[in-house]
Amino acid sequence: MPRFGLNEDRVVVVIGSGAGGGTVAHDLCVRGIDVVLLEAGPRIAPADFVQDENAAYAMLAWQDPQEARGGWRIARDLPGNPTWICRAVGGTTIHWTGTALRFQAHEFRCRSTYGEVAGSDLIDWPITYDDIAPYYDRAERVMGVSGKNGMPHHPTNNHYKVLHAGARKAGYRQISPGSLAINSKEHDGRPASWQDGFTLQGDRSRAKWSTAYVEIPRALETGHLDLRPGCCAVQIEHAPGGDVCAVVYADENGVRQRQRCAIVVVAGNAVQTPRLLLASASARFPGGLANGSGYVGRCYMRHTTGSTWSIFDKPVRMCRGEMMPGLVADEARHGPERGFLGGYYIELLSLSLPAIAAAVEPGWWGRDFAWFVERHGNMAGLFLHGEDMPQWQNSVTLHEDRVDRNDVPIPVVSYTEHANDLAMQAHGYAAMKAIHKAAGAVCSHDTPPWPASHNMGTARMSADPAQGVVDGWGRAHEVGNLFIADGSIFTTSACANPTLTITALAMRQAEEIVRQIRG
Amino acid sequence: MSGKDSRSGAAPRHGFSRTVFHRDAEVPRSPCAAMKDPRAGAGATVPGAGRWTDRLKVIPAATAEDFAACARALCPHDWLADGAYQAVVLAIDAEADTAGWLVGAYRGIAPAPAHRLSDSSAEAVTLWLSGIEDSDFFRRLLSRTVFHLYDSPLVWSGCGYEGVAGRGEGVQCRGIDDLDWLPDPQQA
Repeated sequence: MPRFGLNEDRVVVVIGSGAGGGTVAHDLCVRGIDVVLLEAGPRIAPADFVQDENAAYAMLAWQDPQEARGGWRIARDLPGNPTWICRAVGGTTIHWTGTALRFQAHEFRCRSTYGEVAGSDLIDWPITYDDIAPYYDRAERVMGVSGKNGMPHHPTNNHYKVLHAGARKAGYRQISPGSLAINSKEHDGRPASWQDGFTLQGDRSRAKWSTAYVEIPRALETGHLDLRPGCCAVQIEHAPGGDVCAVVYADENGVRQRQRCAIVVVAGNAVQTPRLLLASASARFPGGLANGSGYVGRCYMRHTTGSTWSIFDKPVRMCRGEMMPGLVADEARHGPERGFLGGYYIELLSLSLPAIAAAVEPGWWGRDFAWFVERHGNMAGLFLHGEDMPQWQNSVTLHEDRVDRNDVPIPVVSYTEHANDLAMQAHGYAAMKAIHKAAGAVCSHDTPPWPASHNMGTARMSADPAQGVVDGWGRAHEVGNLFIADGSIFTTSACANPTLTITALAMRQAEEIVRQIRG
Repeated sequence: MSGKDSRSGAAPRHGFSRTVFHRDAEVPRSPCAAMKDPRAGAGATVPGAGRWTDRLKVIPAATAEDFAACARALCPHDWLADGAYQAVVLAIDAEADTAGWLVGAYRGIAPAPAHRLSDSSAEAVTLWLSGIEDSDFFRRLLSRTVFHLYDSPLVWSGCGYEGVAGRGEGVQCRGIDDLDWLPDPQQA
């Protein structure tokens, strides 16, 4: 692996090695561009992943201090823990459960489609579905998405039988074994899934796509990647003219280092990315780097979610097989006659007993709770995954006085649901209960949203620089050599899980960066 | 509509349970073989021979007995022996900072010696816990109890969660498709 000098000002610095950062770094390296990739977390080999909920959480989760505020239940139940993302080479692609779905075309133009939505800061994306479609094609092939390009659907498991029987009887028709970026057969040098239910803990088999063991090793093979694990960016510096020129980071010994660079790509996930920009305020950018519009950290979105766990009078053993091998798409359309704008997917989801016990209803205890969780063997789950409305006051801001070990103010994540989100969620809970009841469930429990793995919107794309932070390439409106490559750039959240879109946008952005470098 | 067995009893609903019953039915548990990934350690382990309180490092013995009574009242599985709840308290004891904090907080709110929790009925312990549900002490004790109790393969077995049992590297998980009480999906 090369080691580029700290004064090598021609390198591209990428901050964060997940779906966005890992993909951009790889795509630049294979085109011969030298990249320094800073990752706060360690490099963990798949052979070291542990098939255990609590041990895996301790190994992988970003646990640096944060604070949650606002009307959401997280602020009451888990105020120190609003997000569930990874801190390791590979980022959150290590723990993601593989659901790879495209946006629908209208989801790039929600303002035009839905009209003005009171209480929401809704705009259209500055790009269209047609702009991203070729990159969706490429990403699906690279990631090996099941049900496409010759990758078979994942095998039916017990849990899918429950979903399928219930959904059919409840009147749903768009039922499928899901769309998973997990090998159902050997592909790209990685085996087929062992179907053991352990993907959230890191996939020991590597059947699931992750930048950790796909893009990053390939980038290293090019000889153009200088990977620096244990290195946490603390500030981005700029030259007098405004262009970024260096990234200051705390290295694996906690010592401040300063890497000069020609271009910076920030991909720290949508809480850490705006935090870094805000913490990089200067005389020229008093509200935060590239934040003349004020939108850095604003319009934080996390999808409208919730889950339903039901008990049946016979065993299900939902953890046998992949975690999310089932999908109901009937509700993903925009159908305002239902009482809300936008749509949601109903996704099959299994969780281990430790996760269920902790998350099924924070604060629940006693006889009812024990009765419920001791029937885990008879339990089935569904996850509702829908669009949430961008609201200015939902935000990532810097804490007034608390700082982390690197002396950077900790992030405050503030979120209160929009009325549209709540209407969609209520509809979704009713739908999930109806599906389980139709399959024979004895009882169902509606579980509130848990800490967000999907964080979006906090450096959003906009056509008008006054209404966002980056342009259609993810390039900062105000800083021509600053790019953002994670979910922060999402103008709206859509009802699709974000990883496929983050990856496709990163592939597209890398081409633009190459054009910018090579003229 | 309420189900049978251990759901009946004196425990209040604590306000926010959102479980909806679709039909009345006896629902047995489905215990199974369970195994923990050895790389994760053993989890909260039932103490062997001798007085379990002799193994404590931070929590005083009497307090630990009270905490074990609380753990059972918080997560009352009648089929679980006392050792499983003692294991939880030992696991909390090993988290020195948390254990010290809980001991200090408990001193201020513990019932009088005549009404020691470890000598009280399950209903009395539950009632006492209901009265302090809004306290930091309760929240932290519940959080660590849930964490450690459901980290144990012994508890997994009784709850029907397999962990890594039936699974192996490079082989497909056993029985992924063995549910026989619903039809096979017809592939379109």
